[in-house]
Amino acid sequence: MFSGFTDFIRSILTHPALPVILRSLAVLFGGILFLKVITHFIGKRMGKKYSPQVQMLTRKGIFYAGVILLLFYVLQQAGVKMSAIFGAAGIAGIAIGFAAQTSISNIISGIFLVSEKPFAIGDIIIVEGQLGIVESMDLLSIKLKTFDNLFIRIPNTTIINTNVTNITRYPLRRMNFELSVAYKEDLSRVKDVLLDIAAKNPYCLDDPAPYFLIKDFGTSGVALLLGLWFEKNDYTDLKNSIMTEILARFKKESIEIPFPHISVYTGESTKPFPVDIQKK
Amino acid sequence: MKAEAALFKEIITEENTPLRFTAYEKKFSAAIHEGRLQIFLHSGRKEELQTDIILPGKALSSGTEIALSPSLPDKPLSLDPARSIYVLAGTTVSFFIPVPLWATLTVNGLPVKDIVLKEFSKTWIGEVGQNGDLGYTLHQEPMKDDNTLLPDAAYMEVIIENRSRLSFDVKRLILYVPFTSLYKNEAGYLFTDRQKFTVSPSNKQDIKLMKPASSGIETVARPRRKASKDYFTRFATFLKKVTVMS
Repeated sequence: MFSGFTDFIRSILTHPALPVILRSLAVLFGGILFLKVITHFIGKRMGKKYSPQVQMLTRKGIFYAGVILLLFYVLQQAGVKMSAIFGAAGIAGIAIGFAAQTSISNIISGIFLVSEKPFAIGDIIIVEGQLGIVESMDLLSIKLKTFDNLFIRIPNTTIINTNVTNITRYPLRRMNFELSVAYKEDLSRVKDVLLDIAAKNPYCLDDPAPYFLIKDFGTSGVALLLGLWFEKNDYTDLKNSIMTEILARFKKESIEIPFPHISVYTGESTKPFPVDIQKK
Repeated sequence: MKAEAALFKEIITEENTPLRFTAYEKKFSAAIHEGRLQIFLHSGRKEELQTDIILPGKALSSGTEIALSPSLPDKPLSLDPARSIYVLAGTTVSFFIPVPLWATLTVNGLPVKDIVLKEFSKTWIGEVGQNGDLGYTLHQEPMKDDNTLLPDAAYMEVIIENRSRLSFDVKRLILYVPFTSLYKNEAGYLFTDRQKFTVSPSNKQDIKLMKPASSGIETVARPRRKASKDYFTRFATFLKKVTVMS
């Protein structure tokens, strides 16, 4: 039995194809190692100039392209006919294409997203009514984390095909406060009060200046718009402080915010509305 | 303001014995209680905690030194004078702006925090929603000279050189205070770097920071930030709301 085993080993070691196999394996593993080193240095070189997604795509693209070329070389060295390989790859490509068209579409959409840069990791975006922070931008999808700690995965094709609102793209935002005051109020006094509230609020910027607009004559009161500019991170602080201050100040200044109401007339506005109380 | 009055230094050696002092015309109190150093700023009846530091075990035996040094605000100032500054073609105007001071609190020689002696309202310097920086609004009138002693401000000399053929009306100026140093001259007055705005014949705007003209000055505080090469040109214009008049 032992002699049979040693004969087997001897037959392997003296096989004429062994040097080719060993050389091919050495080229394959050495090549993969070389590619890893190269892509590592390329990633470092790209540094902060390019986004992490671009770096990832470049590194993976170079690595996998290199591995495919290595495989072709190794197979060629092993005597495999490349025409047969290409033929099979073509047929397989068609089959994979049909089966994986959604995934491939997502990958291509991901490449477009990386080049177009509608948002970056850390931005707050709204996609199809979903509001969240971009946690990662991957080959097939992006991942959002909502403010109540939910995880949302959105395919890249959805991002390409729908409207995406990037709330944190610019350093400043304007917060619009829509409010209504009673018709009896002096609008210039109301304007002065609102602008004074804005001037004293620590989160409201002096420039760009606050925006005041008399929007409409509503059914219950005069509709106003107050637009206040703020640094994007101060959203909650500004909203809460301004709402609180407007309520308090309006109360102090006796400025009425009307409830929705309907006035009923009998046909003549001067006569009292007739009420007939019937006793049971 | 005089620099000697601007620097306050005291050593606390006893626990639970508040130290009351006045600096920059503001009232402070400092006390060590259960190994924590607490410093309060008093304004009227209000008492605002400025800092609460846990001290190392041996601090009391060796004494805890607290010091207040003058410093400049941490953001650029947007100067909105009540009356606009008119600069004729081919002329140079210069004036002084009193820049309100802050104080830097140091404990045992280590800077701890800024004491905000003057609250500013925030504003944006630059294009709306685009390149720019956060700043503070400064409502101050330019002064012709720096001879008036001010209680809590340092003088910044502003020079506007109009080399173009057009006169202009400056309604708003940006003072790049975080990038300037604070100096003390021989008379004990505090100054910042001078700021020179130049409008070239082709209407290109340029800005330069220069040391004060007077000799014998001593540096009291270094710039908070170092400006990048394109910082001053990135915001398109430092002379905001300029009306060009022919």
